[in-house]
Amino acid sequence: MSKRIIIAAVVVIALVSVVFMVVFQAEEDPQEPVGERVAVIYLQGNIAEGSGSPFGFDGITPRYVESQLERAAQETSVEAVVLRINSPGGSVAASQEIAAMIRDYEKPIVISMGDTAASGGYYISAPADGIVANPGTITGSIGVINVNLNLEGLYEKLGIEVEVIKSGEHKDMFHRSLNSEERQLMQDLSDEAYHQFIDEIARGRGLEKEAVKEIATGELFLGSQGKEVGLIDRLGGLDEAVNYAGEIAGLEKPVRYEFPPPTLLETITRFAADVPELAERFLTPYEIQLLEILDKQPEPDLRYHYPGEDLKR
Amino acid sequence: MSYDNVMEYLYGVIVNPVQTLRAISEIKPVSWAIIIYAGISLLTLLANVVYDALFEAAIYIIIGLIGSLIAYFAFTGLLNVVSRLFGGKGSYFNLLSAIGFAYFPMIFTPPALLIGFLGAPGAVISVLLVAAVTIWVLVLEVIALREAHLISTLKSVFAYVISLFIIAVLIFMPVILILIGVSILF
Repeated sequence: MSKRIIIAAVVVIALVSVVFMVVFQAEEDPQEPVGERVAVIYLQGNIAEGSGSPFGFDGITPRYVESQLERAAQETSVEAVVLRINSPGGSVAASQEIAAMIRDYEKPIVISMGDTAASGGYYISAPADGIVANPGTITGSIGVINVNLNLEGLYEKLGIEVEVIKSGEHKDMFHRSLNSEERQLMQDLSDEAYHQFIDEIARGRGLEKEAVKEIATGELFLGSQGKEVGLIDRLGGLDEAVNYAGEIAGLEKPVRYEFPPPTLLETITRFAADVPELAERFLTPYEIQLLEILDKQPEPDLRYHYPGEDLKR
Repeated sequence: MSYDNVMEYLYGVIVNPVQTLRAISEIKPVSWAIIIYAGISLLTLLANVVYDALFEAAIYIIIGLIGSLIAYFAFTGLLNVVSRLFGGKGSYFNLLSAIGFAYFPMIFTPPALLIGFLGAPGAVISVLLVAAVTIWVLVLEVIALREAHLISTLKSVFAYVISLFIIAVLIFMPVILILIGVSILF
């Protein structure tokens, strides 16, 4: 056989291989059947404002939740949504913003709780159309926490003098120990956020405020206990949540649907978004990092946060 | 170089690579080398892209092809410089021609990937075949370097490895910086 024919045959085989691969890809659909879809969106980590990475890389941010809910809203084959939440909570404002999105969403939303959906994790669950948790899920922790570090002693030990020039009596309240009036101010803030939490649960779960107050002691509940006090609707895992969402949406055979994985460009962008922080951490001397932490500490930080394991991503 | 000669040389790269690459580096069929490299790169891209979003796929292919060609020219240039430090006597175009033809066996990548669609055993075989083809091409590139610059095999290997290291350190870092810029924009 002539060399030209052999090479031509090799080229033809390669071309035919490419054509077959395109055809096979078009026929493959791991999400089949396309029918009554229930989109599953995973929300993992602390709740906070963030850069809005499309992969929830910063934890659970309002921008990320918004982007995922919009995606589900635009998919006409998606009839309902399950939010799989695994979060110990986080910032008050971010939790409220996410809860509002869930409350106002046009399609039914059912929460499926993972290991933990406590404090802010429960806050964002409350307005959903249904909540499903495993019997051993950690939930509850309905309350507000604010931790302020008084670094006066540490500064003195390190020989750091802090000079404050202020306008406004309480402007420097986080740079020294609080006086009794300031403690009361912070307590008032915390109480206000606490009442907002109770209102959200009462509204979302259809409970009386007084009934919510009785369980809003900051205590934790397992999923099974949460069901007894009205925080949870059903016990079960993700499949149960999908079925429940299907029932609410009136679907005969709900099909679980997960969005396609990120494209190469999105993955590269995600990686690149982290590089500055990694580089900065790597290049910044330890002493400077310590000073930056000390400088950053005094800021008000009200949180709906379960002070247990800090879930990262 | 005529079309018939090209076919002869492509055949020779597979069955008799040393003499073939030596001849190619002497004749310097640069245009054909570029066409072959671009063609194989395009086939590989077509085989690897996901076709869910056609517009994105097209962008991916175009950017991939341009990037592949830039990498071909740049890496060959770097190899040329490093080889000269090892006493190499060839020119950039000697090497460019030889490297372009040495890339030809990558044409076996699409059929190797196709085997991966045949279920779990196929996936394993596919991975092994793709790895084998990649190593084959790598060896041919070292041979091409040796024949183009008339240096020993050991020096060719060192020149190749050093060039890869330089790429990793010098070029990877600006790419990361560019990606940071992209992430800020998006």
